Amino acid sequence: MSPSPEFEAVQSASPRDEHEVDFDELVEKARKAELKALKKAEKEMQRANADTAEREARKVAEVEGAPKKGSKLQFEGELDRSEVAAYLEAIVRGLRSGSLQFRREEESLALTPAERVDVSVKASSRKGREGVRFELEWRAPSESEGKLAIVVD
Amino acid sequence: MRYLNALAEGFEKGTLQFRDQEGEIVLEPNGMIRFGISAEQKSERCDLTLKLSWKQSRADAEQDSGPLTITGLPRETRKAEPE
Repeated sequence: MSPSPEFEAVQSASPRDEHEVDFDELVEKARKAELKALKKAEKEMQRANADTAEREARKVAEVEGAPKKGSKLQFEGELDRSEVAAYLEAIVRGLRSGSLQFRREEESLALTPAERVDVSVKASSRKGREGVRFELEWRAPSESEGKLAIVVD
Repeated sequence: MRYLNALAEGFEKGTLQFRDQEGEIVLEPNGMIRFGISAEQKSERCDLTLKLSWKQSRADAEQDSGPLTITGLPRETRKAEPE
């Protein structure tokens, strides 16, 4: 049974088709927005995870005294002779114990001196100033050091 | 460590004496010492550098520049001027 012409006229005049098209667009927009939000959330989560991992690694390094690769800590100041001597004695103690810890405000650095240390000393006196430059250098402990490797042919 | 201990002791006492095959230098740290320290962990090497410097004491500075001496040749050693 075919619909009456009157019904057809009512049906085509209704805004239903137009409404359905809008709905599809809305669904598509919502889907895209959801996808975008998901991607953004994923990126934020990755960033947060990376930050957390870095913080955790830093905490472990601080607790274990493990040196961070490529770290540097510097200090400059004016001290009297006894303060200089105290710093030098602290370095000697660190070298003896095999662990040198440096801390300045929020920064910290832990070094593990090797058994063999290269030493360079330079003393100078010129243009109304005297000075000493003292340098210690050693091979950084590698991560594979101390591990047993068994190779089977 | 021996060197660092000697350095610490020298700063405590106020005299640092360095000697190698080329010669000797005696430093007298005094007043405020400019102290610089740099500790670095590279991928394969660790480096600890200390830089210490101070103003030379006035007496030492004067001694270093030394007094000016001008000595004229004695009259008899002068070359005879052509007549």
